[in-house]
Amino acid sequence: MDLFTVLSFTIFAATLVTIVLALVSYSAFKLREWRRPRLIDGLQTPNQLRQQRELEPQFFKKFVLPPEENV
Amino acid sequence: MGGRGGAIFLLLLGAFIWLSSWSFLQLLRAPAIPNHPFVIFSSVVLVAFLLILILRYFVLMWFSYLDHLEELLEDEAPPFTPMVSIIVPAFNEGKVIERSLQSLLTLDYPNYEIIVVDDGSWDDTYARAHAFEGIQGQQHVRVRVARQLNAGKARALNRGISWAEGALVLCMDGDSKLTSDCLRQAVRHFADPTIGAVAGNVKVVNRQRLLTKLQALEYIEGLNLVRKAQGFFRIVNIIPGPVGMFRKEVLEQVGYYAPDTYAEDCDLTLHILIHGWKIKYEPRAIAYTEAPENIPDLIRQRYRWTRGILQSIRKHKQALISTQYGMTNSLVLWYMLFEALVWPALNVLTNLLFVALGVLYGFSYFAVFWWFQLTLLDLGAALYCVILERESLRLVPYSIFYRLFFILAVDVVKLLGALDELLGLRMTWGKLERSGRL
Repeated sequence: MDLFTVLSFTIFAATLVTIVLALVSYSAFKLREWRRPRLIDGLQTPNQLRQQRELEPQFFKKFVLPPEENV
Repeated sequence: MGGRGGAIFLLLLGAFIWLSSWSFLQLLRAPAIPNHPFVIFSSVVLVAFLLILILRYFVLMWFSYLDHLEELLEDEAPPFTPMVSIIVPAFNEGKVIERSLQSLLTLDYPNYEIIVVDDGSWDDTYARAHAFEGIQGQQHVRVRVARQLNAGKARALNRGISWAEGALVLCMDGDSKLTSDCLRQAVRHFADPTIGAVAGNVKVVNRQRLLTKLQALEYIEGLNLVRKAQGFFRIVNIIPGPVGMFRKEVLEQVGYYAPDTYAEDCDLTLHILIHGWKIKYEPRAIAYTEAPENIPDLIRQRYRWTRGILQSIRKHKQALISTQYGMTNSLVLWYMLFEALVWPALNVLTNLLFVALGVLYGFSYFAVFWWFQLTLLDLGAALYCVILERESLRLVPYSIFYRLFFILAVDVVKLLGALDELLGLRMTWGKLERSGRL
């Protein structure tokens, strides 16, 4: 095998391995997400939303809720 | 461009032209291409991809360079120092919040305040930030610290903005660090009353690993090509979370950050553009941030970005299909859709076809020279951006790994993320673990 053949098959293999590894890593990520409890971070639980609404009704009404919930 | 950088750039351009001509001649001399539909289809797709890449790079480089020239020719502006309110939303940033606040107290700007909003952290973020409350530093900067139940970054930013007393508001991340002249560089653009916001420059601070070096290069290229080209037209489509400055009246006009997407910065930027304001990019308003150091964190980040951007595009789909909101805004949205969906899909598809052509049909010469041409283009673009940004030339060779592994893996994640968004699968924010290197 000449140098060009070795080089070309290295690039082909690297491309395929990258795609396969990306798919495997993505599947692992989805599995972790699926096992994660709902609303664990970044979002509020319904109970937290209620608490905050009681604590700060004016601020909550003006800035926190999206328009359709702003009642 | 510097002498050495310019010479390497010309060398790369020469190599690209030579390689293109050589592979074209090889194709002419080669035995007739088998009349197999797959081979013909693959060859056409590969050549089309290469042509689109050439066009994309050259158009972006051209406008980015015009923006650079505009900056060089800019006249010295008279002193303009309106009050700026810096909003720092923080969620579990205990490792970095103190250093972040200490650096904010030493900014070179005469008139600013800092508002920290702890978004219901589980760690000691609030206690650490609260120690800074009051008048601080030699410049007597007022620091205020608010705490709320965990409600997400958008709502934390909104709380801070509602407290802001400055006519200008700088929104950043709790884990970012601003350079000392960041405010001064961003503020000067607001002397133009048509500018509603300024997007800053984000740099990766943790460059110890191959993965973070590749992200550092990705940020440099993304900002110096796409963002700078958009900045020339004042139509920047994403004001990055780590550093963005806004007129407070603009934020009030567009209804603050909306918490209904996972890319609140992108959504807000589109709102501002649709309301007719201009958005400029300022490369000297720099924020340093930590990039994900491992593959799972990188996937989580890119997944959220992809879905967030698609959610923002869907939210503004009226501007996509109707010229009522301005032809420019329609073009901005189509370009975003292209970068978020079409370009990653094309990249993954061409890579699969490239391997199939080479391995299954024996077209390894054609396929490998196609790949070399892509890599040479990437090297040229990386060199241009690194020189413009005055970054280390050592980053340029990493664009080979960038083409071989990084962008392909990221594009696979983008595509699968887009599929999830299309199917409406649930998702969470996905907070990244900080190493505390900032």
